[in-house]
Amino acid sequence: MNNAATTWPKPPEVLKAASEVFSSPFHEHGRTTVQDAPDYVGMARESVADFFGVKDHSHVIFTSSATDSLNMLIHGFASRYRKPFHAITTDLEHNSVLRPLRTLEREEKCSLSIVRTTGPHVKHEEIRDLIRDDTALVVIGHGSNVLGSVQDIEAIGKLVRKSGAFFLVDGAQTAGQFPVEPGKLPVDAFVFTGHKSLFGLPGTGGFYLRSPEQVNPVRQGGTGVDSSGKYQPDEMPIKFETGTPNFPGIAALNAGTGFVRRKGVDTILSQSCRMTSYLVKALGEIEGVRLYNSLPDLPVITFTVDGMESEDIGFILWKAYRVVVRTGLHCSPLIHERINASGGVRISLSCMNTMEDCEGAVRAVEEISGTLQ
Amino acid sequence: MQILKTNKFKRCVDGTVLKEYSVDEEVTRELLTYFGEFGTVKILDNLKQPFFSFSKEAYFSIKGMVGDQTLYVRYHEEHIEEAHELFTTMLEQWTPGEIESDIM
Repeated sequence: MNNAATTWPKPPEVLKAASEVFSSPFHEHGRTTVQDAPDYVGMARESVADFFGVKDHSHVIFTSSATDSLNMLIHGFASRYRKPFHAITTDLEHNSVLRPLRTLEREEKCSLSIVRTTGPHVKHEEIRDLIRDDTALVVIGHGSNVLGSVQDIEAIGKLVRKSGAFFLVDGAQTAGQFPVEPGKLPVDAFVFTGHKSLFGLPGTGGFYLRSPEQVNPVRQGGTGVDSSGKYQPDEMPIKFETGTPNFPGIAALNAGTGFVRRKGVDTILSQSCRMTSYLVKALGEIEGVRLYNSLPDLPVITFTVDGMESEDIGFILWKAYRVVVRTGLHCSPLIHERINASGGVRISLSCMNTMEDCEGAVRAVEEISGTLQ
Repeated sequence: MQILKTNKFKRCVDGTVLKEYSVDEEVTRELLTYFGEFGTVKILDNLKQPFFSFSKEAYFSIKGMVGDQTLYVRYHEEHIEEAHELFTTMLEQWTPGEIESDIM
């Protein structure tokens, strides 16, 4: 039940796809004479682009993770922008957003405003009030990995793009379990990860970038084509994809995306909402349990138990009950400051979980909490 | 009780060092009573498997499950050598059926 970190278990077709990759030499564009092996990267690019409503498949880039994508986009945007600018983000963000922005701030390449939220959702007026003439970049997490809230990126995107700023959305927590088609939304770039709700393997991720000319590539190297060129080619996707791709990971991502499409994101969401509602109600009724969002949009529930360290709760859940959760700050320190929790226990579901899993987790938390009464 | 191997080592940002040890005997209530001579022991019963924690303030803490052969030890970095020596001596001097010790 730690699927907001990495989904487990994986659908059988994902495991099969990852292992089958090794049955033949890789089809590497421009790097091999192999002609008849499956083009895993091309197939995955088409599948992911269609999944996200992106017409030009070449605008979907594969990376090693959402963190990698965010770094490439944030630093690449700053490199392209050339002069210092103002950026906006929120206190709900993961360190994969906060740290690149703060690094730019420390290097005096940008000044940073952080929306201090008052509830689980970012109000678009909170963004609007911070926009200045020199605001060039707004980075928002689509889904919170602590509160499970999903932001209205369409409304925020309209506002941001009207101002002329670049709107970057971190979709690490939503892609695959919440309907989103960034290709059809007022979004300049959308980041996804492979190993969470798209059911791929760790070490995969990517992004959709609407206008490649707005971001410089922060990596340069071999692309398999245009080897005589002195500089990184401007063509997509090789502008941002350099080095040998992660073939097993990308094949697994393709299979995972196929699994999600066949099952349907709406079905996945309604299934997880049923389990989440049960967990919120059942955990909320346990004496001493404190929930930090009683109406999550995603299957993410963060709680603490009065009188006990979150780390110990997680330890007991695993050792005594074989329930896997995550404890601590979840790489999102600012929101913990705001909700006044020095770390929490997070249960996060995937469509591979069952109601029996949830009932077992509730019984375990009841027993743990009961020992303290 | 002897340490068989150190499974994990992690240096934490709060200035502590976490080590996971496999030991050659199961953790028993008698062992925890013995640990209580050196610090504060807490046991949570009524769980599927009882949980325990031990704390020797400013030096180290231990946690684990009764019946397991794994100990999770968190050392305060400023006293790590002294704390590790104390921890290993505590284990070495442990003899089931005899909970007195003179190492303190």
